Parts: sequence; structure tokens; C-alpha cells
Amino acid sequence: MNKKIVYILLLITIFLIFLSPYASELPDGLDWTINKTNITYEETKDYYFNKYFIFSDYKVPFIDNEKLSTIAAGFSGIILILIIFKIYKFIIFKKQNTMQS
Amino acid sequence: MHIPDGLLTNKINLINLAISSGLFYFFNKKALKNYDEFKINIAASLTAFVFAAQMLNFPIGFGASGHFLGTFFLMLMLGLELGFISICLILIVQALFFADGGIIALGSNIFNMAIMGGLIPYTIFKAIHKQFNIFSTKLGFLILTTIVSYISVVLAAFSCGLQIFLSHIASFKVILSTILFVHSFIAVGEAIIVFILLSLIFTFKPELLNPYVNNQKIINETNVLKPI
Repeated sequence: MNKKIVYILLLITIFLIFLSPYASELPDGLDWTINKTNITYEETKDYYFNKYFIFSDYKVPFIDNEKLSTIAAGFSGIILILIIFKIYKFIIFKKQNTMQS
Repeated sequence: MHIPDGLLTNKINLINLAISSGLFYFFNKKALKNYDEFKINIAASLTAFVFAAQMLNFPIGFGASGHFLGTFFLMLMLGLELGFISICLILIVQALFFADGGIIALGSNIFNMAIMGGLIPYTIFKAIHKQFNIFSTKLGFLILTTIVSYISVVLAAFSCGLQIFLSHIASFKVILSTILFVHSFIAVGEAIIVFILLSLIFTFKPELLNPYVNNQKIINETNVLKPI
């Protein structure tokens, strides 16, 4: 029963990922504020963008289809989060075992 | 509301990083003591859910959009320790792999979204919830969480605006009025989403909200609504 909730949540998450290509492309609250108030700053983001980030702007670089690219990037993010939690669980489990013994 | 690198001064980023990492260490230690495998599994799937939900920007008018913050919602569902860790994890993944929010500004983003948008609203919620019995009913709980989730976005935006002002790149009045104006609309979206999510949880899995709601009252309310 408990596992069922986890699977249902993951199914909803996958559904959201499929919706993500249809998200609004308007600037978000902070970008809008920056534009409106004419804030200028030295953006260091572009430097990293093409060189280091794998899924910059929520896109997979080698997928040309924009929608598919966003979906693939979303899936990658979810897989990354699940892997990190698996590792976290393993570390906590190991630490607890050491504390008990 | 993800702050990019270069917007804030390094001093502000450093102070925020120190506070954020200190809290992360503290909550991580606490989480270790209260290890619960089921809770970690739920945390993993809820974190993935919030990550996906944050990808869905919705238009709010004025040529701007907003997205679900979900930090108060995560703390509500997972508790303070795991909730905080989950939010940090989302922000770290977004900064490192998606270029959403700067790496140098990661501490500031954690401070704004996890502390100002999650920890403080959750503390406010807990204090009010403890003080007044009316918020232990289904309706009372839904009203309180909806209001607090609205406040969570406004608080995070206020903190973000304050940091931009302290970085000497905009005047206090201009930046705060603009950022609070746009986020007061985004906060409505946040409040609606949290209301819908919690209503769904009440319908399908009310035991997940056991720590906050008197279940006997839920049963009674359900019975009253049932047709004879």
C-alpha cells in the first residue's frame, strides 16, 4: 500500500513532464522585475551555459525537436533526483548501522 | 525566482551560503536520527513531483509568468528536516545541471526559497496551528495552508528584492514594489495549487495529513456529507 503512493506520485510526475513543453515562455517573476526596473548586471550565466551545463534551459543539446528535448531534460532531472535519494538512503542506512553496532 | 550568477554581490552570496549550509548540516543530522524508509521514499517521489511542477510556468498577466514554488508544501508533507533537504536538492540539481539559478548564487537561492519560502512559513503555520484548534479541522487546515502558501511566495520575493537592493543595483522602493507586485499574483497561483493538492490528498490519502488534522473530525464531516 505504501509503495502504491510512491508509484502514483511518480506517475503524476511523469504526466507533468509531458506537459512541460507547453509551459508559458514568458519571463518569470524575477526576470520580469529585472526587465521592468532596468537592472543591469554582468551576467555570468552565458559563460557556463554552453560549456558546462548539460541540460541548460531545460533542453537536451543533441535532441533537435524542442518539445522532445524538454521532455527528455525533465526526465533526466527526475532520474537524477531519484538517484541522489537512493544514494542518500544508502548513506543514512549505513550510518545508522554503524551507530547501532 | 532563481537568482542567476552576477546579480548579487559575492558578500551576500557568501553570507547566504554560510546560513544555508549550516542549516543543511543541522537538518541532515536530525534526519539521520529520525530515519524512516517510507518517509525517504515519499520524499524522493515528492521531490521529483515538485521539480516537475516547477517546470510548468503559468502566465499571470502583465507579460510575466510564474511557477509553483512548492517549498512550504514539501515541508508540510515531509516535515522540517526532510522538507529542507528535498528543497535544497531540487535547487542544487537545477543549478548544476539546468543552469536554472547560479552556482555562486546557490546559497542565496536556498536562503530565499528554502528558508524564507519554506522554513519561516512552516514555522508560522505550526505556531498558528498549535494555538488554534479550529485549524485542526479539514476546512480550517485547508484555509490556513492556502494563506500560508500565499505568504511563502511573498516572503521569498521580499527576501530576493532585499538582496538585490543590498547589492546596490536598484533602489529599495522600486525593486521591492516591482518584485512584490508580480509575485503577489504568482502567489495566488501557488495558493490555488497547494489548495488543490491538499484537497486531493484529503480525498485519496488523508492519513498523510495525520500530524495536522484530527481524523475523527474528518470522519464526522464525511459522514455528515454522505447522503442517507
